[in-house]
Amino acid sequence: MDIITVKNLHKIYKEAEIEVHAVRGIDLSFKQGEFSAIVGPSGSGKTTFLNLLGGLDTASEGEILIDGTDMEALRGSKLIDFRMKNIGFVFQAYNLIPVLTAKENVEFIMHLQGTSKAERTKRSTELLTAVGLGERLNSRPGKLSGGQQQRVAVARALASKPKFILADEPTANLDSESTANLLNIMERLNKEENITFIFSTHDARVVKKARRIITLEDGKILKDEVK
Amino acid sequence: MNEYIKLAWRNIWRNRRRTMITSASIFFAIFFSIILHSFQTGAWSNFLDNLVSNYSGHMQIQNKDYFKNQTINFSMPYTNELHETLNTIDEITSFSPVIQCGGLASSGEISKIGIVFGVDLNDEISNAYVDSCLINIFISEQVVNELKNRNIPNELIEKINNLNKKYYKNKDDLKLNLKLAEEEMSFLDLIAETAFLKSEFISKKDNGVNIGFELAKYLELEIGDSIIILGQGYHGATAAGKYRIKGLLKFPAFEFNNSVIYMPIKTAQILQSAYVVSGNLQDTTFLVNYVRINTNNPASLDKRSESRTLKIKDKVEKLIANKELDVVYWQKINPEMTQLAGSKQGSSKIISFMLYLIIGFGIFGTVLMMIAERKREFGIMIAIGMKKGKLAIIVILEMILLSLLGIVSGSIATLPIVLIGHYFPLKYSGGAAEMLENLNVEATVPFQNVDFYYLEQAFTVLFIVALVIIYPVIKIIRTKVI
Ligand SMILES: Nc1ncnc2c1ncn2[C@@H]1O[C@H](COP(=O)(O)OP(=O)(O)O)[C@@H](O)[C@H]1O
Ligand SMILES: [Mg+2]
Repeated sequence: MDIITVKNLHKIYKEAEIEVHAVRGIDLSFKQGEFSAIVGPSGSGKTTFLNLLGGLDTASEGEILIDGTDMEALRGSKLIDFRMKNIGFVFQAYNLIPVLTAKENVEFIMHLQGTSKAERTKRSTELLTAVGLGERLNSRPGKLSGGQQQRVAVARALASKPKFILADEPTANLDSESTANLLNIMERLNKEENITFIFSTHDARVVKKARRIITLEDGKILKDEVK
Repeated sequence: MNEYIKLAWRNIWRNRRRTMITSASIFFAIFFSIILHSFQTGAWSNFLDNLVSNYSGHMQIQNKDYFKNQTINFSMPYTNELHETLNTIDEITSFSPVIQCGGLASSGEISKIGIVFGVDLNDEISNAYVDSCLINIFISEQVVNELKNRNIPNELIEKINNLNKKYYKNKDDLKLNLKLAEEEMSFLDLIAETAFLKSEFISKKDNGVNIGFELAKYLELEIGDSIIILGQGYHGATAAGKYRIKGLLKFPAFEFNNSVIYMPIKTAQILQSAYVVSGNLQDTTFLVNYVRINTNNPASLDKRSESRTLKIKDKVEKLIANKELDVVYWQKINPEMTQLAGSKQGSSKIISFMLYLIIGFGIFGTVLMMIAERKREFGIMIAIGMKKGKLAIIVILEMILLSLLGIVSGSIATLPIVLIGHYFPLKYSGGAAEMLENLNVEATVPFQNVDFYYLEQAFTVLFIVALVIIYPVIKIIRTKVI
């Protein structure tokens, strides 16, 4: 079953007099349990596309259906709620709230969702253990390495039990060991828990791990291959 | 909410230095503003209360027409019931009937307009003051000559001679005016003894009066001589009487010395026929111009003081239950004084306002920096599900906590100064002290005790913060996630 359907998606940035056509007509769909990479050179529209998918930005034209819901129709706090329930985010950097510990960062969304304290503690501990940070529950982001921070971000993205996780170049700032580590964790969560990951990257080592590779060029799909 | 406070609290400590600087600015503004207010209001209220309670009284009970026509014809009966009723009111600390009227004072050949005051001999406080104004030293020609025969240095004789025909209340008063050199101090007692003048306070027993020394001089009268007073009595009756001068008075105000005649209240009432006889003589009701009341609510610049005054006024009015009588209070009796005091307080308000303006900009700067730094963080928080309203609440909480740090610490820091200043007030010294004491005003500058104004200051800061906060809140609401 498709959880995301994208039809004729366009995004045009207008800044001053200049128009940038960042996404030029993308038609695509994603299924539950995918582990897909969006690749392409810098400026090809990966971030723009993921932002549109995540409802962080609005399309200029076209349609995005998530589990049958039209993202266009959602605004303001409805959109924020929808995102929280359905989509997990991992950004390239500075994902975490610096004044909260790893555990508190993971619990933050659950707190917003009104999950009970006992449940929050249980789940945040489980998730952080799953990403290999069972020992660092009470460390603040500043005390964690970049790779560890990204793993906390993955744990956090999972906390709200979203339908899929969008990760925009999650390994861009990581060394190769941390990159491998993070990808292994994502892969395992995908295989064992059937969690859908859609991530962008231009790192060849990351691309290798993906089971579907969507290549963008100038805002259009150049290739869409499934291994 | 706890979660938000926790987050806000941690956030303000992210940039420790900035937090310290911002809250320190609030600290100093609150600190100086409170000290300034406490000092100014305290000093002025003290001065005001001294004047008011010594002169007009905090309140007066008057015939309802007296305020417009201040003559004996609009006087009021001072009955035992009224006296008893006033005694039962807890808020009243002292009260005394007042009788005063104009009259022609004369020594037989010379006359002059004077003012007769009937003194309630039971009113110890005002009696003590009048008593303290009695003249006990007079440097006459004879005194100067007598002192010349003593072993007194010529320079000192010269100084004494300069004070020829001058009156002084007591040794201290004399000392102040004689400007004695250190080595001349030993002669002070001798001079005071030689120049001693026996002035006695009026009493119920005899028909004596105390009069201002300038009036005595003008009428060429001395202690022991008789003074004749002529005037208008109650409802056109002729007022005429002859009294023995028991003492001379010297007040700080010149006009007083020129005109006052103090006599026991009964004597003054009889002089003016200020009484109503109904039936037999035992039922005589004496009339007074008004009854002066002091209360436990000091005259003050504090806005709440007036509302307390009004409460007491209402209570007194209700208890005396007499439609013919009005209770007027000091703000109404002395509108000029109220205005003057108010304008004095204005200056401290302006300084406080400027202090707060400065911290307003300070806080605004902090807010701008904070918003700029955390733009991305706000975006991420919104992306992962934080509602903008809640985010705004956190930022508001941060600013409130930050301000409270300054407000609370600044207020606490003022406590030792304000409390010590209140309970152990500064004292004026030298000429200023003398002048105030002459006015029967305590020569101290007490700080206003901890009171409502602390909250006023705190809320002023919070109000400024509320204004400054509008900007980041708008910014947050307009935040685009990416
Ligand atoms: N906020 C924006 N305003 C204007 N142009 C933008 C904005 N974001 C991205 N672009 C432009 O859109 C194009 C695609 O950018 P982006 O989606 O960031 O590509 P990628 O993530 O693949 O590097 C680029 O030409 C970029 O300059
Ligand atoms: Mg990008």
